[in-house]
Amino acid sequence: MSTMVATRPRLEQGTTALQVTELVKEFNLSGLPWPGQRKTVLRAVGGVSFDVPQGTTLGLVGESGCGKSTTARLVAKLLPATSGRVLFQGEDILAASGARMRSVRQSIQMVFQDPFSSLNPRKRVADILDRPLVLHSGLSKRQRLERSVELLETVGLNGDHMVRFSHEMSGGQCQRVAIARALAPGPALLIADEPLSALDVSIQAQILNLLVSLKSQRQFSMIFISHDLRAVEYAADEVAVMYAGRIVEQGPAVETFNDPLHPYTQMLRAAIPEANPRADRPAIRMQGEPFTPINPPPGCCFASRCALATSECHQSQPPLEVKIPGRTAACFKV
Amino acid sequence: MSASLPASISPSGPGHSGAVLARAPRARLRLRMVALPNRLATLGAAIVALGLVMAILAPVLARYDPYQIDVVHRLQGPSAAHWFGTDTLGRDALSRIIFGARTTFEVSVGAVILGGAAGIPLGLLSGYFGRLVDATIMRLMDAIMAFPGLLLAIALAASLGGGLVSIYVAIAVSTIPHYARLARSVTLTQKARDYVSAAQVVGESNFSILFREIVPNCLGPLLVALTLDFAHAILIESSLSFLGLGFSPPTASWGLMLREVSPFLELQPWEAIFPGLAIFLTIFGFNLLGDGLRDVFDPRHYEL
Repeated sequence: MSTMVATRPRLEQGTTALQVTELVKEFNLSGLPWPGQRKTVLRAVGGVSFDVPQGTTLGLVGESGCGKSTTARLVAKLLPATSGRVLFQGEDILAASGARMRSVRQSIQMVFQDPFSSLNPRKRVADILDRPLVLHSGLSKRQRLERSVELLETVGLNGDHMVRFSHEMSGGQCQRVAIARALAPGPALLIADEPLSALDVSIQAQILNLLVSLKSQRQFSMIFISHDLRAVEYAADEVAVMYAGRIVEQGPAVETFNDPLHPYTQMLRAAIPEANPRADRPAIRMQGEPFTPINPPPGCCFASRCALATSECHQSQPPLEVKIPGRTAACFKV
Repeated sequence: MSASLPASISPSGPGHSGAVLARAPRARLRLRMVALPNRLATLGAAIVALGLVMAILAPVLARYDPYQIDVVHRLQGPSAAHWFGTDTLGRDALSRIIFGARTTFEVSVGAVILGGAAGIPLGLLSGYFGRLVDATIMRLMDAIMAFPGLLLAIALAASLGGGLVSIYVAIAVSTIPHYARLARSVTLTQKARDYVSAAQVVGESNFSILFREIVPNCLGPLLVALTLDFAHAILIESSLSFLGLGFSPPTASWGLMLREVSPFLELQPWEAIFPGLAIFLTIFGFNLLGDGLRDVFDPRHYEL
């Protein structure tokens, strides 16, 4: 296993693996330009900045449609960004050329939400695992076969699964194959885009533990996306809470969830079911309309649902600023 | 006896091995689910196969030379000597229908291959690259589709003059938009699936993603469309020949046979019935086969 990781230069602990600055993605909903046409823009990601230090896990949380998956796809360069900068090991990958990008691809891998959809239904596991090795490893056919079986064993499967199609496996097994495929090129950054949400609860814990242990064994950095706060708290070192395409709060995972600063994070925290039915915990009632990302109004994106909102909040966007050392939040009221 | 067998293949119960027991109910269920469409599809396949055998073995099967004129015995009804009767020039109708199968299959295969070869790649590119490529190709297809299919084929055949090539081109051009739109829609469906994103992340080239990942998943619906379009091509060829824009006499073509006997319908209706029946049956066979294939492939993944 170690030979695979040793083929690329390892950065020292403490350096930054990924640095994202003011990342913006707008989708043009009006189609091809036409004279006299009104332009409709959907702002999926509105200026997101974060760092992922080498060897750590950043958790991205937020509700459906808040832009966490879009952010992941922008970082993996599956989508072209509207503006902003993504520095991966010091190199701006948004500006990278096609040939350069192909070698960067080796170092940024991704695990997707739906394990059935992320495996080609017409390919056997052996063929699925072979492709990244063909493209990046330079091994002979026989060596690639051995490496594929090794990879399957790493993720808790075995050589018997090599001949299977995705429809012949369970969701958890498919997700393990998807993780094995992502590990094949020996990535320095793994983006896990809601890797648990399509799985049974009993399988979720297994996959979560697998990702966490692989990360510590192989020392890659990880962006872990989920709407399950407890999973993020377990897997992530740092957490960034997203709402309506912006980061509203960021800080160490445990502290952020134990003592949330931003009203939205407090609301998310309050929505987690409590194991003890007698626990005395204030309920936070939802109010107002969810944010619409199409031609958004000025002001704080959460203002329409926030209990603390005043006229100031409806007029200008609060900046993401340090509230407690090491923790930031975008709110006038904190 | 059974003691000498290895444990894995020795019978676990009276008369059955475990593996057979486990597999049997699933197989029976699957059979029942596809039984009816399969029976019709088999009929369709049989009709198509019959036509194909006729086309290939025409010189062996035909009792007479389809071009041998015998004016004395013209427009006779079915008889022992001429099972399907004779046409306006006294040629044996059965022999002409057998040789007509050749013409029909040549034209339909040629036109479908030509139309598919042009339309399917256009649709794949359009669906995969989207944006300007998509807009350009699809507006072009819309322009072709603005003409009714048969009218366009007639106009093309008339302007290109008669003959095999012009018939191919006329049929192919009028069916290109159909292939392009279908290929585009199945490509769009597949492109939205995560395995395409996964291939991009792994570092596959566009060419590789399109042909290794997407195309194999599009083959089902496209195969169905191609099969159904054989029927369409046969109908257009017959119509063109009937209108005098397709094959010119004395070629043995079913549409042309209909045209030649049309003035004598009241005198000798048999001579119109047999070629008409041949056209009808062949189209019917291809349609049954296509419908059966459509049911075999998962119908949720595409629309025709």
